[in-house]
Amino acid sequence: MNSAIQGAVQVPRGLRIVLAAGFTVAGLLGATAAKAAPDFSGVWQVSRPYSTGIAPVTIDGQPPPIAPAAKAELDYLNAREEAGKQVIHNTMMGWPKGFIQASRNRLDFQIVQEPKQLSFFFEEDSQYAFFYLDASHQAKATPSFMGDSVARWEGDTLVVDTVGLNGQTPLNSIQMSARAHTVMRLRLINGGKSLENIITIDDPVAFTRTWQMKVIYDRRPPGEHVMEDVYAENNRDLPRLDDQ
Amino acid sequence: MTAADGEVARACGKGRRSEVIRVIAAVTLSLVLSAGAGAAEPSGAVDLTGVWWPMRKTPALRPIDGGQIPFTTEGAAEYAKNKPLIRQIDGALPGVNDMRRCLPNGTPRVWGSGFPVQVMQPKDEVAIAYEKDHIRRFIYLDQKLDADADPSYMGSSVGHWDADTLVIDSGAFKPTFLDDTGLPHGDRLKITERLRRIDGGKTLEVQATIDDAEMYSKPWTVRHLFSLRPEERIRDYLCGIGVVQTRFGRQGAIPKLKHHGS
Repeated sequence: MNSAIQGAVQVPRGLRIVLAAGFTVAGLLGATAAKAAPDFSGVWQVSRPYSTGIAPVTIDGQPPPIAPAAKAELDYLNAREEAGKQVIHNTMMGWPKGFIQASRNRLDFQIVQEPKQLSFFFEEDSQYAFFYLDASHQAKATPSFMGDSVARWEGDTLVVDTVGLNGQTPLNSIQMSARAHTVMRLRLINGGKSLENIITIDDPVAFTRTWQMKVIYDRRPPGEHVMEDVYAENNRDLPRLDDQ
Repeated sequence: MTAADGEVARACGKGRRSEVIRVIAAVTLSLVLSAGAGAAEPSGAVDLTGVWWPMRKTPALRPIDGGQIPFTTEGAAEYAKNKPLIRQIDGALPGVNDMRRCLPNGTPRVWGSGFPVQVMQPKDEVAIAYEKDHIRRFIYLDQKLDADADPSYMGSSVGHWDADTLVIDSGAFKPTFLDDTGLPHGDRLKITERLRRIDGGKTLEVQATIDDAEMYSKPWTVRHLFSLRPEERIRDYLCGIGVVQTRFGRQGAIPKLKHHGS
């Protein structure tokens, strides 16, 4: 061995112990960090085939198992629209649509990921939804459009459990009931360029059985920002409520 | 042996050994700490994250120095016009053709709305979710304010840290009121907000300086205080036809529509 190099790399025993201990701890922490939650943060947009412009289908491409009463409601709304009459929807009211519908809008949304919370900021009407990690559902949560969502990590998958909807959360023109219970499983796919959401919907009022749908979101380029969007600015095409 | 090799060899010599050990130990400790930190640590000098509860509702802004609002002649005239207008807007529930009450408050009005806010600090930015009107805004750190930004109710915002204080500079505002009494602003309004923790960290102080030469003869500053409420969660806020539903239940229940879709 070249004596100069040998001299340069000689490390005293005490230093070797410090280095070994330090790098071992660093390695362990690094390994922990590597196994920690994947990073969902950034700006996303629903992939067009899964957007609100396309009627939702089950994960195997079939129509959702709509219950008879919900089907009658849907037929009524479709008939109104075909007749050129307006249908009041949450957008017109400036009301939240619930996570599933909001995330399927073609406007961007941003995920802010924190150790105890994932926050989804939708450009559409500037709505937001929060998932609380390793938390319990609130015992006395007021029913709401977004519902009460708690989440946990299962490996690389974020599992989000939502209850507490107020019965006015839509899935396109299908009305989800206050008894709806959804479980979403979100994970990065396609090398982190896309986010897959497998949604299990259990709503004994709106549907005849539990069913699953899939939504894919695509990561937007760096530097993309979610803008302010306010539906209350432009509601002059609202119909009269008593015409419904 | 090269000169560099010689330097290394000398540095590893017995006489300097303890110093080298200290240096490398420090580097190693730094590696350990950085490996454990993770990406979720708040960006910036101070952790402002959490849900903050307003100590008081502030419908009417007053200068922090106790003086008078320094209206220009035009500002005073505009305020006189706004006062009955805002009473008209806020005095009735939103109608089918008039949702002005549901427009976002803008800043600094939203700070005084009486609703909680949540601060988040993702990498390179600060996000603030206001429960009132489900307003949210993003403050991009260490960037220049975009002179060509599209106007919005909350404006375009950039921020930087001044020691323990987050300084937010905002411009490009849509027409709004600065408070619930109808304080006006012009097209060239600039707001500088300074956020910091006081009272041992339990209180968030927000000072907002209003710089608008069209409406006010000099910049003036207002102050809002919030207390930390880790147990609180930001809720849905609704403002729509015939209903303003809030956590305070001020205006009754959400109307159940007979039919509605997405």
